[in-house]
Amino acid sequence: MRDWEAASARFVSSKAAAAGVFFLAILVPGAGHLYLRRRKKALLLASIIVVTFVLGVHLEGKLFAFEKGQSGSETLINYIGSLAGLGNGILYLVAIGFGLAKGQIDQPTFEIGITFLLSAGLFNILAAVDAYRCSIGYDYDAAEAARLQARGEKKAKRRARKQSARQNKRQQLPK
Amino acid sequence: MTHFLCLIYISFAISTVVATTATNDPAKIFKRTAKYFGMMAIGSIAVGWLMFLLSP
Repeated sequence: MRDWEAASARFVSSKAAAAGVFFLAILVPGAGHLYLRRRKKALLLASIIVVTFVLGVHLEGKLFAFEKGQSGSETLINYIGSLAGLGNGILYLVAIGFGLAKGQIDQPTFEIGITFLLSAGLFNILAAVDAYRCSIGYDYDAAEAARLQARGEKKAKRRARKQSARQNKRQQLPK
Repeated sequence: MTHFLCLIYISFAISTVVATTATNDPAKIFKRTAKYFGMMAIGSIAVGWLMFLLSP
């Protein structure tokens, strides 16, 4: 595998420091990768997250803010949406603090705005998990090879089971 | 038109983020972004066409 920024990349020695990188990445989009000196990845992820978030605000989307709804299911949806929105980190706090992204339900782009805001939060969570992996020197290729091998073994087992079932059926048939 | 552009953008964003966070190899990132974007584009066209056929 050709690592993009192998020469400049920095790793951390303890799990606590890796958790710190994770929370840094959650708080500021791209900051985790930037701390690990993976500038290209940081720039790519941060630009996509920020653009998605800004578009969500512009399209009159709504950020959920841990409010109780009129029914239990509405409260649950509010809380799940708030958790996804909280993934935006500082963007979420700034938007809530300045009263942005309150949502205009009469606008035709209201739902798309919500989708964009929640997607940006989920993208940032994914980016933070990747920052954590990068910080501990996670081997992407080895993990992928193991996953493919496990899938192949599972397929082979299923095939063998089907073959034996077919043979059993043939043996049970009257001659 | 806005909905269509948003669909294109969100497909591109999802494919880029998923591909970027899955590996550190730029060639693989590019290939996977193109692959996921293509899959989502084909899926969107198929679903849109089905909805057009099913609409009264």
